[in-house]
Amino acid sequence: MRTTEVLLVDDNPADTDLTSEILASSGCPSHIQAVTDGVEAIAFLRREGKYANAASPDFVILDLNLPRKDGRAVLAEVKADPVLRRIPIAIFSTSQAQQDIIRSYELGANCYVSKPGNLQEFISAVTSIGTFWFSLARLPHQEER
Amino acid sequence: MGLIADSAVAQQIHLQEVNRKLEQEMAGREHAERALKQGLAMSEAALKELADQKFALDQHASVAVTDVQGTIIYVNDKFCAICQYSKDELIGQNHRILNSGHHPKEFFQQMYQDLADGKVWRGEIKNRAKDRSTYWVDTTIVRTLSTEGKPRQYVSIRAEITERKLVEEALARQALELSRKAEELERSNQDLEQFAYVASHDLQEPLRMVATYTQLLAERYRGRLDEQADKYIAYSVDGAVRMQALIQDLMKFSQVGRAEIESRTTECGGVVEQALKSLQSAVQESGAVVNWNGLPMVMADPSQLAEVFQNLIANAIKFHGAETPVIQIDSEKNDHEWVLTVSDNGIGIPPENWQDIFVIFRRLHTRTEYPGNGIGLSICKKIIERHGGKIWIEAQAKPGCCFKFTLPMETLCKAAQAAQA
Repeated sequence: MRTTEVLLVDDNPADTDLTSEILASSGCPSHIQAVTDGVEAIAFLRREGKYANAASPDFVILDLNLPRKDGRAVLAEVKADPVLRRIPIAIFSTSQAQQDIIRSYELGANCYVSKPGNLQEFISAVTSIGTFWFSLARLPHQEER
Repeated sequence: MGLIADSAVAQQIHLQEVNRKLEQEMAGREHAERALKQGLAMSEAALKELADQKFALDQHASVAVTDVQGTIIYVNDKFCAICQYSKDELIGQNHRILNSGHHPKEFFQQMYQDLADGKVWRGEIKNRAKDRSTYWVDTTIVRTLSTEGKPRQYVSIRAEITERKLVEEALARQALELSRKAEELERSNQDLEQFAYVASHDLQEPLRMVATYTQLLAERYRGRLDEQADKYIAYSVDGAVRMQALIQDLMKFSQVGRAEIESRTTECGGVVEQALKSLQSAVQESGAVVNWNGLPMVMADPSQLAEVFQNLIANAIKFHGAETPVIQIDSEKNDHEWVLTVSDNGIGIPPENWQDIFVIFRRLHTRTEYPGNGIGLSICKKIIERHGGKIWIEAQAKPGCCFKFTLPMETLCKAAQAAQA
């Protein structure tokens, strides 16, 4: 099983830590890079500035409410880019609002998962994302692009 | 003799002729006199008719005549009564004496223009009385012409409409007030939606952090600190989890208030079955018996109505007494609505709490006695009221609780919907 390059976009360091930890221990090999706002996320994906040598992600886990450029704008920008649009994006946000869910899918999100409010459910949600996207689903890996 | 005789005959003929002419003339005169009398009688009748009409007019309307410069030359009593000036004070004055200043100059310019063009002018004028109070008159003004065809006078007839104008103004004010209220409501609804979003995301986010990481703390450090620490961590987890549940319930309550009601002909029995499906495990665990039959067709949003039954039945099971819960669902027809009853044999509710039990987060027991946030009945109330019904608790002879709520009848709803469409 090859290692999945994951970009985690979340302004909450606690969630980033926990998510990385759960993914690392889930048995699906992944390499996780994290950024904390939308502007950084776009720079990372476009390999701009300090991210010139960053590995191109195979998968993005994106929070919605982010500083500077918010998750919806990042999503819209990525899905409008002829090259980047093929990277699957999972929205992972606390919001359970229908308007956020609908908007995300309209913008081309590949799945929407609400961050559960309880530890066990949080662990199982992240684990499910890992098992589905990193081992079951076939992703357009960097070499195959 | 013959001549004399001839002459006498001629004389006689002549006399006869004169006589005949006289008679003719007499007849003619009599005829003329009759015609004259007739004409006179007709004029008198016409005059009387005019006088009668003038009398009626004077009772109804205020009448004024001005010359072409607007100088008042005649007013009737009604006119004086309305404007409070006497005839003496008015005659010889310009009609402007009554101007209230309400209408712009152009209003009167247009009026005089219309009159100069020989049109009949009709309009509503606000005038000022002698005591400076104002009044409205519905006014018709006509221009009269002299026998030579020159403009002679303006005759105006008015009816007072002050009361109507006051009502109209009050209505306009109310309409304005209403539209302002509607705007306010719109704004406060938007605020509420904003609040709901804030509650759903911005409040839940930090709360989720507290809940998740105290749970993580509990999981990873249980037994590694001391017993007190474990207890405090457990309290924190409990508090955060409970607050999450409260926010979820608050969200749910606000969603019930905002969701569209998709009313359609709905069979209550089916809705009860649907509610029981959601309560399957609670029903099985408690061994509850739910009885109903012949429930009516109502006009309601089926999923919202199911929520009402689900909450009421769930409460009946939760607050059961010593016996196995038995829940009875009945219906009766009122004048124009259905009254549905959900009664049980549980612990009941003291009458002093019958009102406030429908308030959001109102609970009558501690959490250790009965879990829950106290959201169910407030949601029931909101749903029923949004359907145009009422919900209340009623006394019953046997122990337990008896909830009643009303729903509009199907036909009535259809009629209302048709009227709306």
